[in-house]
Amino acid sequence: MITIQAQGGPWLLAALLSLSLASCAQNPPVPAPEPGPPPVGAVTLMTTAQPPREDLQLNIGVRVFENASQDLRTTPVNETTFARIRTMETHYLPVVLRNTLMASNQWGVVRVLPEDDPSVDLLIRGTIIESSGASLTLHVQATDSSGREWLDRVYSGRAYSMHYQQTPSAMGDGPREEMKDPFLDVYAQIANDLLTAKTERTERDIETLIHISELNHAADLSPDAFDAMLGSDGQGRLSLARLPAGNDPMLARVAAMRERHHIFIDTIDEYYDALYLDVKHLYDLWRQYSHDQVVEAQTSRRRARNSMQSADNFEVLRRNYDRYRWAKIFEQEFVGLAAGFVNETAPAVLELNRRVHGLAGSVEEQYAQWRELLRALFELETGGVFQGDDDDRLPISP
Amino acid sequence: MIHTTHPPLWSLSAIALLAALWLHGPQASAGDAEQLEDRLLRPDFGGHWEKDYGRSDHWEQALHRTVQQVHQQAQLQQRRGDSHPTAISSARRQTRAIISKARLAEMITRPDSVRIVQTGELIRIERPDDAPLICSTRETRQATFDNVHGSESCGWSRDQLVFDIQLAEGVSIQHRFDVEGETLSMLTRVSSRGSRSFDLRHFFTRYEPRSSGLECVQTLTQGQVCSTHSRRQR
Repeated sequence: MITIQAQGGPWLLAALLSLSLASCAQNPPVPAPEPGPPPVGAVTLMTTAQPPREDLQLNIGVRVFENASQDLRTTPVNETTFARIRTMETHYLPVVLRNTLMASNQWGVVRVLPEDDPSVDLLIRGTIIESSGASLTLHVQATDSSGREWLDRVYSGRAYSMHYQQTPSAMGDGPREEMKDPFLDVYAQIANDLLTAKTERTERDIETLIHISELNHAADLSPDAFDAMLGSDGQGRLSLARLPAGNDPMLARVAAMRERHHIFIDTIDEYYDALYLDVKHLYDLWRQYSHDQVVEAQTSRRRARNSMQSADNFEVLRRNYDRYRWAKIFEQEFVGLAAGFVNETAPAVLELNRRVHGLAGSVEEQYAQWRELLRALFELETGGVFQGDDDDRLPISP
Repeated sequence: MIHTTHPPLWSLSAIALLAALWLHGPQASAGDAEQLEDRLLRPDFGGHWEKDYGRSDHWEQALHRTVQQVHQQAQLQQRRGDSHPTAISSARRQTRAIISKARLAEMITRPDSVRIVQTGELIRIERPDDAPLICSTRETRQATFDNVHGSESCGWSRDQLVFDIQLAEGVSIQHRFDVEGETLSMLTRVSSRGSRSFDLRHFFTRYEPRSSGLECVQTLTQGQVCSTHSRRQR
């Protein structure tokens, strides 16, 4: 098989950009502010060299994000391409948030999860409001296992040319330079806000929360045995009614089940991490092109404002047509790059789907199966009779 | 160039699809039927087309005709006694505007070949040195591009595929594609507010290019990557 590489795509785009930006070289265009929350600006992630005491470490689950963004470039012809990019982002962006939370060293284990999980202390849900190479807007909510809200805020960040100056090698020659996420400030702000919410709570609050999480998970396994230990205020907020005795054998079994469950969700988290690592280089490039496209659109708008002239003159007509033509070629090129991005990330996305969805059904079904299996095991270990033929079913495909 | 005389491709594909429907019988779902129906409705534009200069309009002649019409109309107005200076200057302005539109129409339609890719979902008309014209084969009317420099929409008028482009300063361009057998016709109309539009019609004949034997896929990092694993694609 002969392989020929015609490097039209990115280079044509680069050529178009350099043409369109040549006139603005001394005054580089800056993405215009759009309505919405103000950008978070420069944010320093609050880190600590000394992690919290082990019994005060909160485990966090970051759910795969929802998508509420609408791409204005979407037409019936290219909607599938952009929809695939958005879907990929719902898996990718939570990993960036997870990595930021991990980097702060202020928490226990942080995992990306496909859905709500009763074993985590704090669950973060995110919705992508807008995502391009120039801006990112996320709606983030965090709720603890007692049902109390820690965070409900819309975060917005802007990226500028300087964020893309550490251009990764487009051809993949030589060692890849690790490019920082251009919206790290957004994630740092989320992490800092969560930390602030945590510092508003006493050590005792945190200890209680961890107990609630344990009992929450225990009640999920065996409602009859543990439901009574949790009280509810009628609004879904839980509190500790009583604690099981420290030497309660039932509690030890629950802890063992919890360990097994954590192995399961660790595996799921690794799948998302693998996708992140596989597509990061491509996604960085994609966002750089996306940023260039936004800048070009703004340059076009400025040019258009300054050029109202008579339609009777051929030179005016020709120039107007040329501007339209190049704007459309540029747009088509961008759509082509989007398709290229989808084509190149397809193996990683397929691998995630294969591993997460696997032979045992969707990840939601696997969760249900896994929890059913845990309950059954628990029943078996506590003296109940384990009936059914599901004991050889593996919840995670290899 | 190979000229062949065989029934129109769309009629052959229509027969094939009808046969498929019949063979599929009651198992065919409503969605399948809808999809097949869509394909049956659209004529086959797909293929490589080269300009038939013998049958196409020559822009200077078309311009001459249009300018003559403007002058005749102005003379008619004069004979009717309307010799107001604004009528004469209006004719001059009309002539100037028509010349500009004719030159624009000539510039846009200068390429001597087009390649059209047609699938069950979309139709893509590729012209050298210009952006492709892309339209869904399903929707009747759709916006396909919108930018400060212009907007574009497309749609179907019976069997004709129509693209409408709105440029700045109220200038609009319409491309109307029609296929009949081995002939593709493209009518380009350039109009602007308050003055006569200019039409230019071109005819194209289908031809079979030499196959490159390459199959290409778009990538982000390496542009188009082509390999010799090939299936011929129209």
